[in-house]
Amino acid sequence: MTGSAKRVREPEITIVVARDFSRYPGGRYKADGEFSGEAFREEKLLPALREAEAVDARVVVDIDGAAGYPSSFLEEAFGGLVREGHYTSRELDSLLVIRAGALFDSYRLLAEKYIKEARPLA
Amino acid sequence: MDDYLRLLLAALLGAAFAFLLSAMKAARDEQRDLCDRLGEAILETADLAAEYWLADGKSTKIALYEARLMGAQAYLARYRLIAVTWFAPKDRWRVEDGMAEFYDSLTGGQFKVKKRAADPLRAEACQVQAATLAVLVREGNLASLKVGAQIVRGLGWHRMRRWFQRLFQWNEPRH
Repeated sequence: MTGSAKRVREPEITIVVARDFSRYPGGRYKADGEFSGEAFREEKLLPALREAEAVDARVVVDIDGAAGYPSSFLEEAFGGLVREGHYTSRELDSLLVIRAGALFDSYRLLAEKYIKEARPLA
Repeated sequence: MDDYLRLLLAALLGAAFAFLLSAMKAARDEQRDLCDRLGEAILETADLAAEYWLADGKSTKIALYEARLMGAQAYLARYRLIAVTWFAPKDRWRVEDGMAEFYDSLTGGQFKVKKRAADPLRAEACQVQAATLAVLVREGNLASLKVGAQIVRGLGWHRMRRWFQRLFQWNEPRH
């Protein structure tokens, strides 16, 4: 058997974007308006990830229920975790789960793609 | 008397068969119309996005474009679900992946950034992704309308497979 199995963390910290942040996520930066991807990452996602690391849990982000997501929001919120040097995509593999129903599955795929393709800024 | 009964039975069977064929044709036509409408909506959204990305952040119509693009994205997300119900799983996944790429070009990058410059490359990407996605929808639709696919669907094969998957917790890989 090659490679290492992904470690599954059992306890969960759940963030429901529509309930805990906004039903109408905005754009990329805080400077451009409310409920931006930058604000979501800094106010909700990072604190939850740090708490999850401390208690050996994982963070589940449920993206259902919102009106929709600009892709720039998803890139800044999720890709920004790697780009800003907070975590590597490998660390997020076991620490972060993005959950979506059939309606928002394309957004989930996008967010996961942004995490995988993000590169830390030099 | 027997002859009359046989004639009546044959007539009833014929009528039932004709009704079934007519219902199947109506369902096929409706499915084709749904996919055609989805393809049109994708291309219309790409045109709207091209107008948005060719304008810079100073344009007075930017906020209107942004609202319309978010509405168009929501429309496509929901419409996709009803249009692909006949698609085989692998065609549904291809459309889902194509939709994700399309969203990336539509509202990614500097979307909703106040002082952004015009982005002709992204306008072009929207058009190209839309064309790709519209063809994926058409391919999935054509495959779903073949006689073999309709028989498989009629026998409930996909439903049975999902049931077995849940029963044995077998996760079919997407690719």
